[in-house]
Formats: sequence, structure tokens, C-alpha cells
Amino acid sequence: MKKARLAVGYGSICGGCDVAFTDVGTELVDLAELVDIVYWPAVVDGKIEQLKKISDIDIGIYFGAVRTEHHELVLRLLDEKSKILVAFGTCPCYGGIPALGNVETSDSLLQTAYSEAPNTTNDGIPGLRKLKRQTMEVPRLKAFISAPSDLVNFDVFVPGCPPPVQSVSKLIDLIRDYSAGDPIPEMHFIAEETSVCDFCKREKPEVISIDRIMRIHEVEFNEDECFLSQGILCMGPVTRAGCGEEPRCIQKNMPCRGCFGPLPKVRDQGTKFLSSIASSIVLGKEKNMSDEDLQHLVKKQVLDPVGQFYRFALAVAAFNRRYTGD
Amino acid sequence: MERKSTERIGVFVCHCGRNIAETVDVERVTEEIGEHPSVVFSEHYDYMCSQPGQDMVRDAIKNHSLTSIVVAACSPTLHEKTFRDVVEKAGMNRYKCEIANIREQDSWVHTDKEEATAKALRITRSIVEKVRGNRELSPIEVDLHKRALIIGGGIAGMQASLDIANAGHQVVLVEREATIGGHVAKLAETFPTLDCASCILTPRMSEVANHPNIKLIVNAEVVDVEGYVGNFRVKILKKASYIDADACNLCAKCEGVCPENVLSGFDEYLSFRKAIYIPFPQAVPSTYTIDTEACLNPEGMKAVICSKCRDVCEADAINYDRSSEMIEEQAGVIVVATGYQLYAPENIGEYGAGKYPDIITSLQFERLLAPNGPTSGTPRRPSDGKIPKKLAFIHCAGSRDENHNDYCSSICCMYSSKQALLFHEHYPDSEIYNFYIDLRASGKNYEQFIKRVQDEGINYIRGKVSKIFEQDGKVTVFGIDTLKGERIEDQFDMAVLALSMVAPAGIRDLATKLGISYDDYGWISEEHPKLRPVETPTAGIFVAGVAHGPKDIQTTVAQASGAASKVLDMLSHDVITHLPTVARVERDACSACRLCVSVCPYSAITIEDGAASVNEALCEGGGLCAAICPSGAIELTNMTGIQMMSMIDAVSEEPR
Ligand SMILES: Cc1cc2nc3c(=O)[nH]c(=O)nc-3n(C[C@H](O)[C@H](O)[C@H](O)COP(=O)(O)OP(=O)(O)OC[C@H]3O[C@@H](n4cnc5c(N)ncnc54)[C@H](O)[C@@H]3O)c2cc1C
Ligand code: SF4
Ligand code: SF4
Ligand code: SF4
Repeated sequence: MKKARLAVGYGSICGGCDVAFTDVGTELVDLAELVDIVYWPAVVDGKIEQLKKISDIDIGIYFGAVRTEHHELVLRLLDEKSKILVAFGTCPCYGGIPALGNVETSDSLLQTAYSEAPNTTNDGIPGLRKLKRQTMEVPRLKAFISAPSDLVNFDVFVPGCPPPVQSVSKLIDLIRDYSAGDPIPEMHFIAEETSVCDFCKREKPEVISIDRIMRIHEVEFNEDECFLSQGILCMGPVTRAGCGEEPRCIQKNMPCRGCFGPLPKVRDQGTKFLSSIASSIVLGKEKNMSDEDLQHLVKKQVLDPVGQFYRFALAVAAFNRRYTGD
Repeated sequence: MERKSTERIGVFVCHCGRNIAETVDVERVTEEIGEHPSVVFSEHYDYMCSQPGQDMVRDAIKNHSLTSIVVAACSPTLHEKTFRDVVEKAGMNRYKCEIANIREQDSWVHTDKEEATAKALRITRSIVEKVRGNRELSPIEVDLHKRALIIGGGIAGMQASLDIANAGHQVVLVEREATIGGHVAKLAETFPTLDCASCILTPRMSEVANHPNIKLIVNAEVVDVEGYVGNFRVKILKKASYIDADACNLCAKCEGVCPENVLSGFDEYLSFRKAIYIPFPQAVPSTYTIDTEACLNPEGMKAVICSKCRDVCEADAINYDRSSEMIEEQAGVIVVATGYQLYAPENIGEYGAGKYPDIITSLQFERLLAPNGPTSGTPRRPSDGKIPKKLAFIHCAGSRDENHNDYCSSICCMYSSKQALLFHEHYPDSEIYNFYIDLRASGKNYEQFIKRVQDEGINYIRGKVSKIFEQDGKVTVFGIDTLKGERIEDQFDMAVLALSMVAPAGIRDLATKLGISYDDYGWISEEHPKLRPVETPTAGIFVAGVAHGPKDIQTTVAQASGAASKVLDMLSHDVITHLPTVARVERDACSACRLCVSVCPYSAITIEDGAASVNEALCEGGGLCAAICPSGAIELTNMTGIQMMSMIDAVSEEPR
């Protein structure tokens, strides 16, 4: 059997996906037998010139979001050269954590990082120009962060921040099948088609009406009952399952944070959850409250709405960045 | 204009006379929307809803083989039905017709023609996108239970009951009190004709009592409502009646022996009655009742401490062993006619009612004027029983006041003037002052009535009264005469407060049970103030009388007959049709989170075999479920997520 050629390219990453990938342990040996790794900064080589040179990639895997022009270049090159393009991790699927940067403009991010941060004395701000020093070049920030899936068409999606071990195994199985000549289903998700709630074992009451939104440390909660019905915001209902037989955060007694992104029929995870929560807050009792009271209730109790509702999928939301007038 | 396309949408832009055309360049809208790839025909006309306008739509559908149409005109609540009827006659499915509202949402709220035109285009484009995604639908049919339930037995409920019963249909009339009649039973004579209230009311009451098609349940309240238009299942809790109405012959012996005296609610607490009583001699049903709160025997007659009434009853009509009953009734339609109550005078501390005996409410004065009232029609003041010589009528007590009720109770000017006139006719030497803010007398012959009162020599002072209190046996009124620009401080023998009409206790609860909505004040909301004034937004539930907002008897009765005619229209069919634009569940995508079940105000959703399921007959297509569903598994037919997104895209797209 001819070995498939595998390349891994990076966007804006935290490094977690590399770790998660290697977490499969001995299965990496299987992978090494299946493929030739032609490009992977952490493993073989990471110079862009190298990637530019390579042709005929069978499986291109992209980690991270698109923050700089360089990230986009890597993405476009992989897309152009790969037969099968894989979005590995939540960032390439939905923008992930880096996209939270979209609540600010790139200019003001640089301003903060280079001049306003308490431990910075630098007066100069790089701005959105390209920086060149001798042979080195610092790529330009793009005006906002994009989800790679909005820029190119992926064949396989492996959501999760980071993807769990079983997803990596499934990806290796997929590569095996592909090498054996089996076709890969279109827009294939290595995840479930239903929500985290569907896999959650906690007891659910008949009617869910939230009287007060609570943060996890503020309440002594029942470990067998649904978080949401106890007033703790759990992204389970709007999040694709697949992180574990029993969802991994829930199992550890933490509400779901939503890292697997929206369900198949939903485009905008955050807005969907926001409208679900807005509808179930003081359900049946809202008639006795004024609009201001209601708004106040939500505003006061949700301290960081963007972080809470759009933590992993801001880049693909209907309103996905600060409005700058253009 | 005609273009080529497989999707063949026609757009008709209405001028609405000048209503739209003055602010929106209708020609430009017609021209530019005509360039949309799916629009093959576009035209504009002065009044699209008129016959020539309708003909234009019909002909265009035929001549250009249109597959769907958009009418850019007024709000869909006005003419959606009109145009859907037109397209149906032209052979197009009625759900292939949509309305783009460029009047209420555009021309009426803007002045800049350029921008209003651009907005009209955006709105129309978004509706074109919607109609592209519309499916052909046919109405859902549900069986109809040919029976009406009327809640509230005031003049409104009685009128509606009689109209429906006379047309040959069964009626169940539920009244909370011991008798029907409502407030009109308490009145003396009624403006503007001054016919006596009893003469209008009591014959109707007995008609209700004797009507073979009317089942009257008094001392009862609706406690639970299930089902939907055509098939409501209602639970009615009837308080225990210890007296057999058929056996009671009104001999009044029981009343004679009962040792317990309490203030009479019917007389507005100006007289005493016994614990066993009949509210007034013409009460319907014609029987005595035991007021269990006043009776010496403990609640529910758990023990018999006193049995004087039973012992004296020769007709054997009294039985203490009865208990309250839960009556279940089925009805196809419901009319809400729960009327009003007066604003509690204690709420207006500065007017002193409740604190001082001679500052009384308008209904109390009405009782003092009534021949069957506590003073047999001779108005004596409560403190010392003397006939007052100088009287103040205070209009707008609690009305048109942001601290109390900011609306106008609409009839207080009239009844205060009436009360002044009735009093003055008996005591021409008396001195009477009406303190008013504005005189509202817009009904038929009302202005003439006010004129008559003024000619009688009754004084009207324009200005709000700031304070009323009693001192040395005199009622002192502080106010202002805004016409003369003078401060007023005057003394009277008695003051009568024209208190606002407010929604009756328990109405919000009842409305919630019925799944109908009410406004900020608790008045039941109508579907459309002009076109569907007696229909609530919930199919099969109607509203009549003051339950819907303050009004006089004349309007109440007219509205009750209006509601009855809507009921009769419904009951004339064997099945009723229901809008097919209901919620639909994609069962595979549903994760049975129950959020939609919790949020649906019509209880239309249940979880069946691990996924949500919608009862189409119950679903009103409101879409709360679609908004709340975190999985995007539930969607409204003809308003799907995809349609909505393409509508948003169309709205946000920059015009050329
Ligand atoms: C002082 C005064 C004088 C007036 N004089 C005139 C006049 O001269 N001319 C004129 O045209 N109008 C007059 N009116 C107005 C008149 O009273 C109303 O227009 C009329 O009573 C409205 O009738 P209705 O049936 O809508 O309400 P109501 O008369 O209030 O009847 C409602 C009925 O519903 C019952 N009910 C309430 N809640 C429930 C429930 N949950 N379940 C079951 N039953 C329930 C009540 O017990 C009551 O019997 C006067 C009003 C006042 C206050
Ligand atoms: S909301 Fe969270 S806790 Fe509740 S069922 Fe869903 S995943 Fe479980
Ligand atoms: S429970 Fe939610 S946040 Fe936690 S891993 Fe699973 S999908 Fe991610
Ligand atoms: S809200 Fe959506 S996912 Fe939840 S039960 Fe209803 S249809 Fe199913």
C-alpha cells in the first residue's frame, strides 16, 4: 500500500491541538506506518518555503484560526495542495478562542498589547503594517479573525477544544480507510449529530424555568440534576455531542462550555443559546416584571455575555466582530 | 414589466392614496424590485385593495403565470386575508401570497423620501425572499363542539348568551357571584335616556333564567382550560350551594331568623344583610344563598353550630351536607365578559374615602339613588342620615393620572353628570358642583345630555381636585378653577368620587389559563382594534363588554352582540379550519431538552418517544419554540431559519 502524504499547517494556535494529537499514544505508530509526514512544524519542518515547494498532499490538516496574513497563506496553500482537507480543533471549525479578539479592533488590540499593558514600556505600536528586520518578517494582522471554515471548504471537521483522544483515533481510522481507497463522506464531522444533553445523564425536570442565573461557585448544586434547571448556564443544549460517552466537562461536574460548537441545524451557537436562555428565564413569571427589570436581571447575572455564549463560535456568529463602519 | 425566470414572482406596490406614495417613490420601488432575478412582474396602483387593484392582481397571475406574489402595502393584519382570497380565486395557493408592510413600518414613520424609498425596497426584497421559501399549504381541519361558554354574567355576558341561545345553540354561562346582572343591577337610572336600570336589566335576567338553551352556573369560577378552538375542555369550580334553588320559594323566613349581620356587597356596604340572603329580590337564580364566610358554622359546614335557617324552612330547601363541585364542560368557543371593578378609593389617600363617612364612591351614590337601595331612593348621607344640600362630584378619581391609572375611564363624566341631575331633579334647592378636568361626552346624544344637566343649574368647575377631607361635619375640597385661575377651598355636605374602572380581580389569572393576553392595565387584548375588535389573538376566544376596556352600557351591549355574531359564525360550521403555518419538529434533530414544552403558551408541545411533537390544532404559530429550541429542531412552517436568514440578508444588502 502506498503511503499517504500528510501535512499539518498552523493558524493562530495555542499548541493544545499538537498535544491532543499526540495524546493518542501508541496509535501514533499506526499513523507513522500509514503516512509520510511531509510538513508539520512541530514534527518535521515548518518553513513556509517548504510548504510552498511541496505538492501532492493527500491529507492536509489545519490547526487554529486565521489571525494574520501568514495564517491565511498557510491555509490557502494547504487547501490548494491537499486532496482531503481536515479542520482539526474548534478554531478551524468555528474560530475558537482566538476569535474572541473580534470584540476589539485589531488596532486597539495592538495598542493594548504594545503600549497599554502594565508590563510594557514600549511607545511604538507596530500598527497593521508588515514588520521587517533583516531577513525576518512579522506578518500583518488581518482586520479581524476568521474561522478558516469560512474561507475554504474543509472535507473533515474534528471539533473540540481540544479534540478528545477518541476523535484523533477516529481521524486515524479515517486516514486508514482513505489510504485503502474508501471514499470519505462529504463534510464529515468526527462528532455526534445531536446535543450534549442527549448524552448527559443528569435528571431533567418537566419544566425548565430559571429564576436566577448562578455561577458554579455560588451555589451548592445537586450533582445528579441538570445544571440548567439549577440556574447554572450549561451550553449542553446548543452544543454538538462527541466529547465523550458521558460529556467530559459534565462528568467532571462542570457545565458544558460549548467547545464542540453548534448543532448541525444551527448556524449561530451563541445567539441560539442566548435566545433559549432569555426565553426560559423566570418563565411564567415575567408578566409581573417590567422590561427593565428583566433586562437588568439578565445583564446583572451574566457578567460576560460574549465569553459565556460565544466562547468558541464567535467568528461564525451572525454578528461576529466589532462594527467599524465598513 | 415582464422578465424571464422559472420562479415567477409578481410584486404589487400600493400607493394607499397618499399614505404611502407621499413618502415612498412607489414607481422606483416597482422598477427596482422588478430587477430581482425571481420577480417577473411588478406594478403599482393607487389602492391595491380596491376592486380594480384586486383585478390587477388576478389578471397578472393569469397572464404572467405567476407562482407567488408579494403585495407591498399596509400591515398584513389588515389585508393579508383580502389578497389571499384574491389569489385563491385566481388558482394560486393562498400561502404563496405575502404582504410587505411599507406603510406602518415605513411611510408612516419616516419623512425623508429618499430613505423611505430605500427602506421600502429593503422590506419588499426581504418579503420576496420569504415568499420564495413558502410552501403550498392547506388549512388544518378540526372538529367543532357546538356549544359556547360565557364567562361573566353582567349585561355583556347576558346579551351574548341570549343572542347565541336564541340562534339555537347551547350556552353555558358562568358567574362568580350569587346572581347575574353585574354592575348594571346596582345602578339607579342610566344616562343618557334616564331609563331605569332595573327596567332594562331584570326582564333580560329572567329571560336568561328561563331559556332552554342556557345553562347558568353561579357562584362559580373557571379554574382550568384545556384544548383549543372547537374543543375547549373547561373545569368550573362551583361553591357549595346549601339551598336548592328550585325548592326555595323566597318566603324570607330564614332571613328573619339568621342571627348574623354583615355589610351588603350589593348595596356597596351601605346596609346590612343576613348571612343567608338574596342579593336583591329580582336576583337570578331566584334563590337565597348562604354566605359561608358570615355563617356561624365553620367553613364548609364542617360542624353545625347554628341551624336556625334550616329549621325554619318549610320548603325543605336547605341542606348543610352539600359540598363544592367541580363541573366539567366542553365548548367550542369562549366569550370573556368579566367586566370591571372600581379602583379602590384607599389608593387615593388625599381624597379621604374610607376614612371619612361622607366621602363616598360613585357606585355607593348610585345605590343611594336607587329605589331598591339602602335608603329606598332617598339619598341620605352615611354619617347622620341627613339629605345633603351641597354636593361635590369629583371626576377622574384615579383616572388620567400617572400615579394611578393613566387612561380615561370614559364614562365617569357622564355618570357623574347623571347622578348630579337625578339628585337635583329631586332637590332643586340643592347646590351641586362637578369638578372635572375635561368633559368627555362623545357618545350619541351625550353632549345634549350634558347641556341638559348644565341648564338644570349644576355647576361645572374645571380643574383637578388636590385634597378632600372632613372637618367639623363638613367635607372640605381643595382644588383649582383653571378657567378663572382661582384656588378653590369650599365646603360640602358630601363628596362623590367618580373612581376609575379597573380590571376585575383574578382576570390576569383567568387570562393566563385561557391563553389570551391582556394589556398593562389587565384589560383583555383584542386581535386588532379596528378590524377584529371582539376577537382575541387566541382562536375561538372572544371578548365583550368592559372586560376589554371601559365603556358604557350601549357599547357593551353592541360589543356583546358583535362577539355573539362571531361565535355564531364559528358555530355555523361543522369543522373549523386552523392556520397551517404551525411549528414542525425535525425529530432526528431534537434532543428532547423540553425547553419548547416549557415555553409554549398554548401547551401545544409534548415529548413523544424521545422527541418533541406538536399538536397542530393547538399551535398558534407564534414561534416561541423556534426561538428557544437550541437544536434548531423546531421551525415554523413558511418561516424557517433558512427563510429568516435570507430575509435578513436581503434587508441588510446595500441598495444600488
Ligand atoms: C357609578 C356607575 C354608574 C354607571 N352608570 C351608567 C349609566 O348610567 N349608563 C351606562 O351606559 N353605563 C353606566 N355605567 C357603566 C356600566 O356599569 C358598564 O358599562 C356595564 O356594567 C358593563 O357591563 P359588563 O357586563 O361588561 O360588566 P359588569 O357589569 O362588571 O359584569 C361583569 C360580570 O362578570 C362577573 N365576573 C367577573 N369576573 C368573573 C370571573 N372570573 N368568573 C365569572 N364571573 C366573573 C362579575 O361578577 C359580573 O357579574 C356606570 C358605571 C358606574 C361605575
Ligand atoms: S443542560 Fe447541561 S446539565 Fe442539563 S442536560 Fe444538558 S448537558 Fe446536561
Ligand atoms: S462538555 Fe462541552 S465544553 Fe466540555 S468538552 Fe464537552 S463539548 Fe467541550
Ligand atoms: S426545544 Fe428543540 S431540542 Fe428541545 S425538545 Fe423542543 S424541539 Fe427538541
